[in-house]
Amino acid sequence: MAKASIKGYSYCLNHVPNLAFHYGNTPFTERVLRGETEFLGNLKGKMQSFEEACAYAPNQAYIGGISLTDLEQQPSPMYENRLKSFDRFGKYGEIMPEDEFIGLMDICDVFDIIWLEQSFAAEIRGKLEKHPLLNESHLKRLESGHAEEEISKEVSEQEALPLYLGERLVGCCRRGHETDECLSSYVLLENIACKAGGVLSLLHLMKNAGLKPEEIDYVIECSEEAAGDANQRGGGNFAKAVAEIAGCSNASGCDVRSFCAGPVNAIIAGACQVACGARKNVVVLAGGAVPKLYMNSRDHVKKGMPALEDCLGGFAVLLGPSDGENPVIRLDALGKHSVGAGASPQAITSALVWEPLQKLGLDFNDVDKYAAELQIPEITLPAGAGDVPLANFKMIAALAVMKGRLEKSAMNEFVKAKGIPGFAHTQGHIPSGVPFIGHACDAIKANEMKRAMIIGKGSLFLARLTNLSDGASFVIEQDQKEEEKAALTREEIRETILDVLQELADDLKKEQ
Amino acid sequence: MDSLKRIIGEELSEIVQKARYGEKPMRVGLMASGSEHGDQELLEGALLARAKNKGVEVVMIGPKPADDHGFEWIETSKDEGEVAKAMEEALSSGTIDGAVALHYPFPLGVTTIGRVVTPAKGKAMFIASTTGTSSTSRLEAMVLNAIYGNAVAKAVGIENPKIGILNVEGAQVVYRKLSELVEHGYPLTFGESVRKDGGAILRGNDLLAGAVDVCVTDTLTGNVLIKLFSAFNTGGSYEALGWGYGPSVGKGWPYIVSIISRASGAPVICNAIEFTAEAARGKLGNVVERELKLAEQAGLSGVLDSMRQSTPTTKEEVTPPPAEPTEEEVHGIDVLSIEDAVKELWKNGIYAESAMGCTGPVVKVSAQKLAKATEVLKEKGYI
Repeated sequence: MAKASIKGYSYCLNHVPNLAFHYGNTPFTERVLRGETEFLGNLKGKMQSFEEACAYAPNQAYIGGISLTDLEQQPSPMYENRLKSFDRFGKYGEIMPEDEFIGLMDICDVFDIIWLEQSFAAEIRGKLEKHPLLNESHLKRLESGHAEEEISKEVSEQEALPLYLGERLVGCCRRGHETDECLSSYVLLENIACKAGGVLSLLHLMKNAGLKPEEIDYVIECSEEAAGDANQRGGGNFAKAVAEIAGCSNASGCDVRSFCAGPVNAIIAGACQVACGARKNVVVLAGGAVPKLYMNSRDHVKKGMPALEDCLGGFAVLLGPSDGENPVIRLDALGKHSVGAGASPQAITSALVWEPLQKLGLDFNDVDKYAAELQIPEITLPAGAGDVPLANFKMIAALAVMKGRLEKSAMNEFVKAKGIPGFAHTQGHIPSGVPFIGHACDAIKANEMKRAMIIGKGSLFLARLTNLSDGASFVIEQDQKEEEKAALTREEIRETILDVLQELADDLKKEQ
Repeated sequence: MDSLKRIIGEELSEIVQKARYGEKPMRVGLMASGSEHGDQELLEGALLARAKNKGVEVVMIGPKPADDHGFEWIETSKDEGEVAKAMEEALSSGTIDGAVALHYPFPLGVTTIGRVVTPAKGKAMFIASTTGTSSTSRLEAMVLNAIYGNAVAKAVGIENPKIGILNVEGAQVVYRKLSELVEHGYPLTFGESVRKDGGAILRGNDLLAGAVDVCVTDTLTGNVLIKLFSAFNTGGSYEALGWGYGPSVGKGWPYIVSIISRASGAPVICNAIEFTAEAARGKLGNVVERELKLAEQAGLSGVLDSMRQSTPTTKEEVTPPPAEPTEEEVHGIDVLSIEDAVKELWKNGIYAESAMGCTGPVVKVSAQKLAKATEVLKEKGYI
């Protein structure tokens, strides 16, 4: 049986309300089309402080600061019932404040794209020196900064994008070419932020898994960004760029794209490399997407809520050969949404949930938890998109009823037992099943859970190339190596003994 | 010396046979209380089974009487929940190989295969099935019951059981679907009705004569049949004949729990104990898995799916308008009514498709018709 074990995981958030306010697609487009409107004025009043973001229960659930059980018990709305005690660091990662993240973007900048203002650069060096995961080689990359006038000039004359903390100009993001749209300052900002988010997650992963940077063989990056220039718009390679900054000198890497289904496809790709013996330690990771910040802020502001979408998500997962201890990904029963499968929710759920279960000889109830898109409902509900995790669990329950495997009256119970609360930011690839891997592996290792299914789904029609949807899924479970061996061996031994005895008996009977 | 070797060879061969096919006594648990005829009736049944000595060890589960008749006893109070719990523990720990219970809350997907004496010729016949639910859909359940009936008959030693389908509503559909499985290689043999025109569909005469080894029916009808066959001569309050409602079967179901009723008499209880032991010795669970695998290879999933789709629905058929690019999305429709929403738009001349968007289910429409589509969906209460 082909399988790969999950040897580590990290989950990080970068709290960047100012990047969101200026460069999230919704406010950015509003500003370009209409100027400083009332909506933007109101939005400013709804931005959350770093402490507020840290005290928001779903954020803590993401970085492993609280359990999902604790999250479920949190009174709603959770933005009005924030946690009393919280820490910037959780067991999976951290919530990094915006000033440090801008510093980290500069550390990740290899082409002098990010300029920091001198006094800010000095300030932030002091802070980053105290960060437990940043070492001398990282800090060496941090620039000493430019004079404020120099930055202002770059913004007004060279189309650089100003970087703010509140009203304070702390730096800018420069363009990479005068006419190439793929190297515009906006695209480069997006890409460097995504890279920095990936680097932070990788640093936490290596700490969590107790791995040295040199031990990593391969990195697969699976965000929704495109890095390239006019001649090769999405050429890549984020993965290798991230590995370089994190000091993974023995690693190579590549990018895997499939909209929100990217992470699941990337993990399958990585797990296959491991299972066939091609590579030993493979990391799958992604940083967040700047344009998706404040995506639904119009509705949030309208409803008088805080603008919750102010965090870039990031994650990293370490895959390695099955070791009998860590939970494994089953590669013999992957969910696959084929071209001909159909795009209706029912057809997708059937292909991604029911078909792999059948291959494994399992029933809907044999999976303890299902994780599809895990957006925070408080973000999506006010925007009219509903409770996304709930919609998926309902669909799975409905399919179980349709397949005659569940009584209709037991649907609600099924949804409650098998579902999980949403706790991920609305950044496409980030909520798509993968945030649950950490919680699931912990529960499996603690013997509280046997099996979980991670489901990634994507909407390919967003690219106007095809009307197709996309999706993939895999099952995580306890590594049953030894049990299996024992059960098989006993049966085989008995049969072999009987065979030998039978031969002996036959031989003896021939004697006259 | 040589003849000594031969004798040893013969003896050894016998030992191998025994080791392979087992004469190790099967341990069968019996719920010791809950009968309408009193606890004594259950004890009588156990005593009968022991007297016949067919390689069965009965383990009583429940309150222990003053005279325990030398039975091994798992003691509990009279509380039925406690008795059931003790039985489950004994099954899961492997203390017993199977159990006979007066009731058991089987999960969906598990059913029981009963066995009756057919009165015309005194022949035994399996009834598939008699309690539990192999599927929520009746016809699908009957197809599964045929496979389970086949499995139980094989497990207790009938090599090539003859299968018939009782002429209840949908019998012909079930026959066709089973025939499809047979065509694709599932080893199932249809029996013949005693009527002149033959065929695998069974009528009343066939039941009375025991024309086949396994009678496939829906569970409710099977339940009625068991009652009739076991108590027609006693007026109903005392089940005197047959083997009871039979052992449990289901996909992935690990236990052999045979059901009797509160009205079952000692002879039926005795038979149920022996039936359970036979099933355990025949490794019923493995046989069920093997049969399901064979059926699966012959296309069982597809057959069951096709049955669901062919179930007539009252929903009207709507012809979609000509397809056009659908670049806009309508959000916020409940996932369970998304297909209805699409049809509603079709009815209004708007081409639409359902899909899974980035943030949940969406209905996709063209940009020109987005406003109209939203209006229609609002009006009909979808958003």
